[in-house]
Formats: sequence, structure tokens, C-alpha cells
Amino acid sequence: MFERLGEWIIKILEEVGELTVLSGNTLYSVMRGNFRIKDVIAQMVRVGVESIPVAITTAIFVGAVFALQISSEFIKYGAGSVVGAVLGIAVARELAPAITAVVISGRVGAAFAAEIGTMKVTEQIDAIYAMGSDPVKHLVVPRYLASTFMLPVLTIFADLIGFIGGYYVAVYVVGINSTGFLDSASMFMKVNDITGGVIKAVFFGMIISLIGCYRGMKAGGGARGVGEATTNSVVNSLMAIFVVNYFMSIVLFKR
Amino acid sequence: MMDQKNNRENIIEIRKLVKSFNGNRVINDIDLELKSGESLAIIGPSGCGKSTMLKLIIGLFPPDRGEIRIKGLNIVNMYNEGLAKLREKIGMVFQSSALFDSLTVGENVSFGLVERLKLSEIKLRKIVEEKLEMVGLEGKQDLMPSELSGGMQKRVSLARAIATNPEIILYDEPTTGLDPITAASIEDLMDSLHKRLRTSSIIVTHQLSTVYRVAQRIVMLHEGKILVSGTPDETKNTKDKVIRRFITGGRETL
Repeated sequence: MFERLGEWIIKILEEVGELTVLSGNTLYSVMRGNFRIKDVIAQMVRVGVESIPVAITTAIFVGAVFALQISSEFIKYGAGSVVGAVLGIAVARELAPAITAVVISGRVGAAFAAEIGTMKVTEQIDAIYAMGSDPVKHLVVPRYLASTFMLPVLTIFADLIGFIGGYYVAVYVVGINSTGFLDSASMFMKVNDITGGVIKAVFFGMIISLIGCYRGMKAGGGARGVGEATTNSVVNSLMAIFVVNYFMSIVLFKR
Repeated sequence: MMDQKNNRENIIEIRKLVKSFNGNRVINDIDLELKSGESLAIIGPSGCGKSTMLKLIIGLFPPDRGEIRIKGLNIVNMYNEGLAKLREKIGMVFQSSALFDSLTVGENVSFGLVERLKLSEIKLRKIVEEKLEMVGLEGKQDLMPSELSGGMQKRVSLARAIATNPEIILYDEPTTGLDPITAASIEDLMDSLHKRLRTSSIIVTHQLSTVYRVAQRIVMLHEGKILVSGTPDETKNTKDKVIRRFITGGRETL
């Protein structure tokens, strides 16, 4: 039993090590400008533009359900006037960045792992090496840059849309005073709440792209291997996102 | 350049090569050389380590022990950049063709060129057209790989391998899985490219028609060792049991 546990720990450490090496190589390539802008733009369209509908839909309803729950509770305790502030702060600091990252890791991170994994098992990655080139340059860097840049953008969208969704439910469904709602939000919310959330999104973008690419590059054993890579990429990203989110909240929003 | 058959320089030299996977010794203390301009076939049953040999030569993974010298340079433990530079001299045709399915045929062929040389768009197009014509696929540059048959994909893979005018071409099962007519046309193509471009090549295969058609020398790999090395005729007439069984498909026992 201890042996199994030991093997498991060694495997995890090994994977964390490999992921760190991949991150290092990626950053090195980024700093040397060793990538093609064309590839980055193509990925930005995939990661950013094509994810807008799903990011917006999620944000509206997360904002809405959050407002629904807190409004009625807060009214009970006579705190209806701070609903706007609580919603705004919750969306900007936590809900928008985390939920957007979750949605993108399912939509985009999984696609990275599946795509690169398929290239791996059909020898396309070997072919890139064989032609004296580097898969990090062609595959990882464009996805990394696109995710790191587009996730904050999607998060800003989600901030806005989530707040609007919450506003509608609080004001028109629960019946909270519109002016009071907006006043409390503008009084208690700080710029730091929004920038903090956006900074988180930058890191989530890095995490999703690096884990997706890493899982893809490690895929082996045909279709099944690609399936496993895809699942692992989503599971690993989600865990990493929630853990990192907690610690970043401590650092970014300390009183 | 020395042109006498036995007097040519070694373009690839392998010494005491060992490679294991999960404790299983796939390559066991092998010595092998490829002479400049020679076309060498490595034959053997599936899983005998033939493809591993090619991947070791191109440095996709390092051996456990031994030396691999390409044009005199030992590639074992070489850094990525040096390896990338050396790979420019080598073209490789993969078993699964390994075309980039998100790129057009033309972009596939020009991939290595774009990587290495700063060529104008017009010049690049010209080279792509020329290489595609050499493999009998003129005018197909704008198609996607998924629109091509298996044989055509193999041709594109060949065009991609020769695009940068390599000195060495490595073929991994170039005709496996193709119908006999398509296989024969690929063999003809390999033969004519070899004569036209004067490249040195290693062909890994278990397809005997390919071996007899294109190879000048044959080595057979068996249980991690080289069993025999000789011309196609010598191999055909050998008395060695294992080789006879391999080339007759096990139907003839001595």
C-alpha cells in the first residue's frame, strides 16, 4: 500500500517537474520572440471570440442566481441596500474569473489536449522535431499567449454581464430599489476588485493552456490515450484553478 | 567525391548502440554504417526495433549507450539547437505519413523551408511546385491532407522530406498498408528520387517487394541484434534459418 502511495507521489512530482520544464521552455520562446503572430491570432479567435457566447451565458446566470439567493436573504435582515455591493464584489473578485476559467478549461483546454494529443499519436509532433523545428514554438506558444491574453478579456465581459444579470434579478424579480443597488455597488466596490479578478484570469489562462498542451504532448497509445489526455487536462486544470484561486484571493484582496 | 562502391565515406556510423524500453532491450549492442549514396534496408518482423533505430538516428530519444555519428558528429547528448541543425540534413518519411492535418499540402511541403530559410513567397511556391511535380502531384498544393488517398499522402510526405534537399532520407515503413499497385508506384518513386538526388537512405520495412526494388544492401534485425548484412541477392540465397523463414513467410523450413 505504501509502495503504491510512493509511486503515486513520484508520478505526480515527475509530472509537475515536466510541466515546469514546459513552462520554462514556453516562456523562453516567448521572450525570444520565437513564434508566429499569425498562429497567435488564429488561437485568439478560437480561445476568445468563439468562447464569447458560452462565457456570456454562464456569466448571466451565475450573476442572476447569486443575486436571487442573496437578495431575499439580505432583505430579511434589512440589508437589502448592500446587495449591489455584495454582488459586484463577488462577481468581480471570484465568480467571473473562476467561472470563466472553468468554462474555458472545458471548452478550450480540452480541445488543446485532444488536438495536440492526436498530433502526438499520429507522429506529427515527431515530424516537427524531425524537420529541425520545435513543437513548443508551433503549438504551445500560440495557445499560451492567446489564452493568457484572452481569458482576462473574457473575464471583463463576464464581470459586466454577470453584474447586469444580477441587477435584473435583484431589481425586477426580487424588487430591490434600483438606485440603492447601483449606489451601494459604486460606493463599496474598488478598482482593485476588478483588476484583482483580471490578474487572476491571466494566471488561469496560463494554467489552462500549459496543462492542456502538456497533457496533449504526453498522450500515447492511440485514441484511448488521447481521450485520457483530454480528461486529465480538464481535471488537472480545474483542480489547479481552484487551488490557485484561493491563494491568489488571499494575496490580492487582503484587508 | 569517391565513387567506388566500397570506398565511400560513412555518412552515418552507429557504434555499440543499446536501447531498452521498460527493461526490454530493443536494440542490443548494434554496429551499423550507411555509406554516402547508399540505400540500405533494415528488415525484420514487427516490433523488432526497426522504427526505434530510425528514431534514435534522428534523435527523437537518446540511446542508453553507444554512439550515433552523422557526418562525423556524435548526436548522442547533443543539445537541441545542434540537433535541429543536423536534422536539416535529414528528411524523414513517417509510417503514418504524419502530415500536418491543419495545413494544406503546399504548407506541409514548405514547412521545413519556412523554418530554416528566409525565402520569398514566390520562391517558396516555386520549390513547392517543383517538389510536388517530382512526386507526381502537381497542382495539388491547395488541397488538405484529408482530401487525399493514403498513397497520395505518402507522396506528399516524400515531397516534404525532400523539400530541403537533405543528404539523408529515412523511410519508416513507406509502403506498409498500401495496395500493391500504389506500393509499387511509391517504390518506383523512391528509386528514381534516389538516383536523381543522389541521397543516402535507410528504409525500414517488412515489405520485401520494397526491399528488392530499392535497396542496395539489406540488414536484418532480430531480437535486438543484426543477423545478417548483404546485397538483396545474397539475402535471397542465404542459408540462415531465421532469414529464410522471414523472407518466405514461414512456409519453407530447411
